[in-house]
Amino acid sequence: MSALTFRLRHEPQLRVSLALLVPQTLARLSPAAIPEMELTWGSGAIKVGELFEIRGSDASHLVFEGGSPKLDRIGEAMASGEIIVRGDAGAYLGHRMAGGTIRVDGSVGAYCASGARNGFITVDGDAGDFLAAALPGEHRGMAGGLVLIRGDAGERAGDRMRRGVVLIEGSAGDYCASRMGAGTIAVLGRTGAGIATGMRRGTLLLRETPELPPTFNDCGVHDLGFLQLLYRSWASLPGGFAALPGNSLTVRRLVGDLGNGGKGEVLVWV
Amino acid sequence: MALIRLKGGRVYDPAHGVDGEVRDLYIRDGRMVVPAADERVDQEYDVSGRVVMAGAIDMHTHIGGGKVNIARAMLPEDHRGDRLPRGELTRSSCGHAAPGTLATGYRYAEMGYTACFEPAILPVNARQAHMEMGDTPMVDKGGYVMLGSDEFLLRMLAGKQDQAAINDYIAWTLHAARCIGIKVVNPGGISAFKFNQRNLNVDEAHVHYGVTPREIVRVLARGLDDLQVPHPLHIHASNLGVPGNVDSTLATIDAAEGFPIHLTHIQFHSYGTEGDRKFSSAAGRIAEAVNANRHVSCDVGQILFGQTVTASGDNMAQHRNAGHASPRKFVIMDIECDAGCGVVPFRYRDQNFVNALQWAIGLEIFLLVGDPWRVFLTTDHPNGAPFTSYPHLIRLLMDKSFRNEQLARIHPDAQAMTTLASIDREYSLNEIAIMTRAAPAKILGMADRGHLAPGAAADITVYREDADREKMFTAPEYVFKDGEVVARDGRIVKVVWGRFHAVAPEFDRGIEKGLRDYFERYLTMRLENFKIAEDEMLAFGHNAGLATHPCRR
Repeated sequence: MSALTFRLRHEPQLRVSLALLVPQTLARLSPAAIPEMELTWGSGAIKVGELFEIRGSDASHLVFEGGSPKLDRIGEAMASGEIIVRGDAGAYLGHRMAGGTIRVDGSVGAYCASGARNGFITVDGDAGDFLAAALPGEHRGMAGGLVLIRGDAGERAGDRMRRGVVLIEGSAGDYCASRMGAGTIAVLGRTGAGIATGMRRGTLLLRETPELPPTFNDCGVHDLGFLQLLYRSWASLPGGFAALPGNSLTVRRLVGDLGNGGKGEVLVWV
Repeated sequence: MALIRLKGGRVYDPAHGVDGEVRDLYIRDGRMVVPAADERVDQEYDVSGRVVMAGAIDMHTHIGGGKVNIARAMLPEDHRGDRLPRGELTRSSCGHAAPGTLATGYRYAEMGYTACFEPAILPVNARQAHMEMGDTPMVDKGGYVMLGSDEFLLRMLAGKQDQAAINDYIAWTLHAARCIGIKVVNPGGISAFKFNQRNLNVDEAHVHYGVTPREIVRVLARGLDDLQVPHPLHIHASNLGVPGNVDSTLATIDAAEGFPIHLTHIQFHSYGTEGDRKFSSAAGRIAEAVNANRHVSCDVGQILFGQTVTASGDNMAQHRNAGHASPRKFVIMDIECDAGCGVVPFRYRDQNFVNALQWAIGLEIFLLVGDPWRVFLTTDHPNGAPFTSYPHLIRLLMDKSFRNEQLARIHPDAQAMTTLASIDREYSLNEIAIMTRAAPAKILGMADRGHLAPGAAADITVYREDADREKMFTAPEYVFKDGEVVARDGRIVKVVWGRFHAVAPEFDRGIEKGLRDYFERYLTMRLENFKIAEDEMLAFGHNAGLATHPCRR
């Protein structure tokens, strides 16, 4: 069976929610019913068939061809299977995701992987603001799973993150890991202002020396054996994280934010 | 004008002793009428076999004012999780426990409700509360304005001012805030909380003013009786939620000294301290007291299991409960130096002993209070459950086997602590019509609502008979508001904007002199800006008018 493929007929003028187009929902529908499904389109609705040309039949493998930054909520709450996006995706990609894989060729919008509990997301381009962060009013951002951003991430990446791994090959915007509760974030590029502000627990692994708030204590340089295990778990990933050099077990360890519990650690390769 | 006939329905109009008689009803110009013998019927609805009642009235539901807005702002997840998309006629809205004004109005009307009363309007916030309710479509509305923890009254009591001066202040407040009744919340306790008191029993003095809740209840209950305000003092009694608070509830009844009072969400005030966990049902004692005291009425404030949010002026009780917040966030705050408020999101669980017993206590009160004219159907929306759960609650009251099925699912220790299984009573349709229509209209002094006799407003709900009462009361076939069909089969077919209801008792204008000095010195608003003018009320939202009801009991 070939992957169920949705080819965008034209660039959408309004934001559209693709929350319904996830494997567990589509698997229950007959092929004839799929084009008739209604998606939220601005403040109204649009039929799937009007927006996409559909081919293929395997609902556990979905492909969106011809992406757009207006395609929101791709893979929202998906439980299993695979979604491939050829092009850009909008906000809330993998929001509340519970399992499965999402691969995006292009870039994604805000709140990617927010509230995700499990699963695997790779983005070849950049991620918008609030990557793996909590929605307004919520206490927890991403709570499990792994997100790999090959490009840059926007501001507030990992805000109130609770568990899981966020890997950023490019740079992260301001306030990365702010109010972080637990989990791991690694950034190979630069980081911005306000990094780790209000960080309570969790691990932030950096290549470049960050501009940390004064409420972090420098605990000296250490060789940390556990990093070996961490790197090994990344060995099968595409890109830079698969090939971290052996000497990168030596890190400077900074602990804080003392203004908020102070059990977070920032590890900087030396 | 056009004459409309509702033909052949089974009519329940308890205000006039009509209990399920098949009869025709006639409407003209939004009113119930008796047509002339030869008059032509312009429009007819065949409602034979249907159950016909007046539009339902919710006499205690938090739908407007500061604390509701705080709950909305604090719970974006409540709004994200329950979206109401735009319809052809209706605008989009959202929210489950703290819905927006539009969702509130639409959902009430879809369930056959045509009037709602916000029970906790702070005088200083009254303008905002009315504006918000002016933006609530479909239903008539009104409010009870809060006195009893305001510094001005406490000063009057501490200064031993006479009842006549207090009556003037009560009447002035009703006027200024354009409300239909007076509510007292944890008498004196909201102020006492700010003086670091964390409990206030009925005979315990406020540390600063030396005033007791007993005095506050007595002067307010008496004042409303002197002023002949139809709605008796609406009391949220002391010690909400505290095990053993049955004693303070009974003391509050005693404090009224025979003047009429209404005890609201009485379920939260009916707890004993028996059993291993020192938490038990005192519904029997409460029901006995309500049955024995003809001047006392109550609404239940039933809890139903699930996610909701508790919003109350009772900062003392909310501060006590804040540790139980779910999700873990809350607001306890002062309002304009003259009142307080607390908002605590809450999830009631059937496998939690306390919650399960609270559920049973509420139902025990419903079933043990004999007179349906004095016990009202409420969940204290949203404090016990959102108002959308009323049909479920009606089924619990009308269907013993369903009730016992639900009882079998709750925490086993709570099952052992309740007598609910041994109560055989099932509410009849007539009794439901009393507690949701006739009695609320009567206790609020609205002569033209809650019944179907000629002259009444044509607010009518037509239900399709169904043994599953939950289904029956969820989506009535027709809902008429002022003679027009506004909802059909649980969907809005016409958007209307109900009117405000208020009372305006007479008072000595001399009261304003002392008040003006007080406002200038202590409050955040000038006296002239505090008072809401009648024409101002008419400009709020889309409202269709202001009905000022006469003061007589």
